[in-house]
Amino acid sequence: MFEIGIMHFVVLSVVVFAAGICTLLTKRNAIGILIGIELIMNAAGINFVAYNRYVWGGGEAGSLIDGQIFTIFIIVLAAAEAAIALAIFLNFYNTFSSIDVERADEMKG
Amino acid sequence: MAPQQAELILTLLGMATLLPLASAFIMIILTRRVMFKAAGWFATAVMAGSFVCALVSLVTWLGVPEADRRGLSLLKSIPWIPIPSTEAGHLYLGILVDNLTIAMMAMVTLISLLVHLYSIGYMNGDKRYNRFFAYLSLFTFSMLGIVISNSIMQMFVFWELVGLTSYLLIGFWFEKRGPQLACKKAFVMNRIGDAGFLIGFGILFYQLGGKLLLPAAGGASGMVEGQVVTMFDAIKTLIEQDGHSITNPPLWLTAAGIGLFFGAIGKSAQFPLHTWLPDAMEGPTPVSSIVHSATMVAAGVYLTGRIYPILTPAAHVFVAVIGLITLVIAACMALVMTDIKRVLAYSTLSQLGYMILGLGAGAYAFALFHLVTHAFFKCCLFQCSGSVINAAHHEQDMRQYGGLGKKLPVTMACYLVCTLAIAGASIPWTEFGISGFYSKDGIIAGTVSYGHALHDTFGAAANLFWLAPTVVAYITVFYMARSFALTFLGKPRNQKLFDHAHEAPWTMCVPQIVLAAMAILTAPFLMGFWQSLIVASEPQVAWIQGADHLAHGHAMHTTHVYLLNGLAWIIMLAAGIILYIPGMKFSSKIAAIPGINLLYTWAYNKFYFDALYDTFVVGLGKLISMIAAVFDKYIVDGIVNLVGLLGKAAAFLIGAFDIHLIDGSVNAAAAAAHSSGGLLRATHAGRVRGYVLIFFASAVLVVLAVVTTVMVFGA
Amino acid sequence: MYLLLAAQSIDLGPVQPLLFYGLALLLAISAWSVVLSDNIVRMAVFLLLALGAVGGLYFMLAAEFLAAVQLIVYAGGTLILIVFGVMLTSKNPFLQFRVKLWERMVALALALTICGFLIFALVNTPLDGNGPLAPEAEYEQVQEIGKSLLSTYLVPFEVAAVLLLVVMIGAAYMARRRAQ
Repeated sequence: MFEIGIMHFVVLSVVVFAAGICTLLTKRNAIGILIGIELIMNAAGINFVAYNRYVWGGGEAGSLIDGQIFTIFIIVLAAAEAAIALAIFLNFYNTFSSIDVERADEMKG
Repeated sequence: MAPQQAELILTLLGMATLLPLASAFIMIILTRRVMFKAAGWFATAVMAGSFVCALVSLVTWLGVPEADRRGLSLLKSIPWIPIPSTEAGHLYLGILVDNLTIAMMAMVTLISLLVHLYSIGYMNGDKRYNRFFAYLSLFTFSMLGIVISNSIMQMFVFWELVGLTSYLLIGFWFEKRGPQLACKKAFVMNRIGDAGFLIGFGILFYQLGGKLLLPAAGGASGMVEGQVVTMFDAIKTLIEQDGHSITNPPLWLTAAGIGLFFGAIGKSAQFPLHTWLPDAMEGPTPVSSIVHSATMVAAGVYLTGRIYPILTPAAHVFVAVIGLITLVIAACMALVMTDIKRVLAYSTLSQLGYMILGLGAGAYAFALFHLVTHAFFKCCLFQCSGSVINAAHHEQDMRQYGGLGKKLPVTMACYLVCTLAIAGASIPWTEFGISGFYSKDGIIAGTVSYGHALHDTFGAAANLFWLAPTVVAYITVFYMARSFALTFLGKPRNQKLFDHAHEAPWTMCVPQIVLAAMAILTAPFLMGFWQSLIVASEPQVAWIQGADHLAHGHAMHTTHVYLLNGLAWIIMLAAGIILYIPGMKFSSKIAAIPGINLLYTWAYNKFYFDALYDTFVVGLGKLISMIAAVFDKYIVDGIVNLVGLLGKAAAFLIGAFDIHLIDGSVNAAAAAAHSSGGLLRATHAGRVRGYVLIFFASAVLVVLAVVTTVMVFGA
Repeated sequence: MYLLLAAQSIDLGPVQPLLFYGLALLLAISAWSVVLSDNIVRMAVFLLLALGAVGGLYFMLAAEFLAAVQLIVYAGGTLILIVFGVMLTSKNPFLQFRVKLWERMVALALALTICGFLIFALVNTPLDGNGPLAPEAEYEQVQEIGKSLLSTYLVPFEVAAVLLLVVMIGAAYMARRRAQ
């Protein structure tokens, strides 16, 4: 129990992931949804790093940091996504004078 | 006869026939602006050309020795309508020229020319001046076509054309009610006769198989192109094959002859169908003058002359009786008429009765000769009456006339000459007279022998065949004298009318003078010509006209019984003139005598023929049409309405089916699509969170499905 | 960097579970506080806490470079961006958008279902979760990352670079002031 294994990190990431999903589903604020996405990404990052630490397979030195490289890309993508999302939200706000995603239903069938 | 002469005659007569047609077409095409004023002179000039053609061919014909031209026929025919199922193979179109044709061509073209000339003056100022001449030329063309036809079929075509153009001419002033009714009446009466013509034609066509060429029997010795069997030869062959003979002809031949003669009854206005001719007076006077002389009524007599050889003895009796009735009743009516043109019209009827009676009685040559002489003097009489009417400002009642001779000397002279001609005037107890003297006496002579011949069959009644025409000959003189006296002699009974009267222009006087001259000259000088022509054209029909009376009749022709010889015509003429010089004073007293007044009333009302036809024929027609109307209204309309109702009901059912079933199903489909679309639409509400929810829920379901599958079926 | 590498070598010993549970608790509470909070500014603050906790976990997992990047880029960059967004798009920074209760229930049920699936799957996966740890001090971590990015992961690296350029230009373009 006190010995911290991969299972602890993975269960933690599941909890964070669930929190991200809940955030996505319950927030009407566009930025809230963005926050939910960040949570989900962090859950994924925790998984990658944890597996990199505990399940490395005994390969060469180069393969020791594969999980970390993926996490780096996740961070990069998160940053890019945040930038783009915020630009979109600004436009959205300029158009509708609101940040409520419920209002973004112009294209409904 | 030299072939060149034959060719010349055929060509000239063809030209003479076609020239009026050409001028009619030119005048119809070049209407109003181009040749409105010139139409009269143009048409007259063309008719003059036509007359010259006919005259040249007449002279050429007379140049042939009489022995050669006796029974000579020139025939030029081209195949017209192929009828493969018959023996002849074709109906032929062409020209037949024999003595009768030559004589008729000259007479018709001359009279037509004079009528054209007369019309220039008479129709002057009419608003359809050009059209009148077009019709007149077409009318002449139709008559010439009948004269020149070489088959019954072709004749029928021109026959109908005559009917049409007479309709147009009688109804020329169609704005007025009278001409409208008159032209319709003439047309309908002629159609009734034509129905008989068609029946006779049909019988002959059926029996002879299309061999309907017309040259007189025995006349095929002339220039017949090819080996064409004529109608008469065909009939002869046919009935001899059947074992029939001259004295015992087959019934169909009698029927065919009477049928064809019905056409003549219509055209020549004989007894049952005579009522149209007096009404035709509603047309312009030149039309009356040509209808009553050369063209229309002559066509019927001409046809009877053409079919003369095929008339069986029974048919001859029929023809004679028809002529007899006509001449008697027409003379009686002429006696009491007060309208100058109507007197002349009934006079024409009476004279036509003479011709028909003559043909029936076997006085073939004199009947046709009378046709020619009568054409001249009757045409002249009508032209004179036209001049009088013109002078009297269209007053036609003779009671308003009187003393017009002082104002119209030329017209009076012409009228007198023609009155003498129709009276058959002659120098007492000699053989010299003017035209009517020869022709009418010949007919009466024929009827005398016919009456004698029929004495065995009909008993004393057979005497009527000669008694009636003899009496009517006296009546004729009397009523002509009456009309002459009432019009030209005595004191003016209408001073105003008298003061305004004036002589006709020269274009009207010249034809009158020429015709009056012809009326005199045909008799002593041309009679030899005409008579030789017509006698020569008389078919040698001994094979079929075998009855003794005919042979007897022919013998009578050569020794005339001049029944009017002597002072008879002078007495009647004087009586008429004296009685009527003071107007109607004496005559109205005579007409008031009981007994006579009854006859007078009957005659004055045309023996109630019109009323009779109105009541029975027209009434019957009305009754039938009423029954037909009732039938139409209640039965036909009822059925139609029923069908309509059924259609409506069916349409209602179909409509309901449409609305509720078809539209309903379509609407239901549309509604289903709409509602399902609405349902699915909710999933595309544009809600980001909804999409996320669906995304994750789907993921859960997929995992659930995979896990379930794995757990159920094993890993 | 050297310090960090040096720190890595520090044996946490019995403190390690305590550190993990502390960070885990912080992360879980922060994450679920984000879920439960209706205020966007608070959400941002809780996110900051969560990101920091994740960075601590990276330290625990001997990924010091990554932990540093997490703190610098996420906490220092992305979160600042989010806060700027909040400031720019909200007339009232404390604006709340109420969400219906049944929506929350549905979301919670779904999240717990996924959670349950994942844990069920993990429990049933024969994973050598407590195997030997990767050697720690035997390589230069930053050097290796740099080599990997420029050799094995060169293409994703370059694509990421292009992506960032595009994002920069695109974001600048979209967020520009429109002509009225």
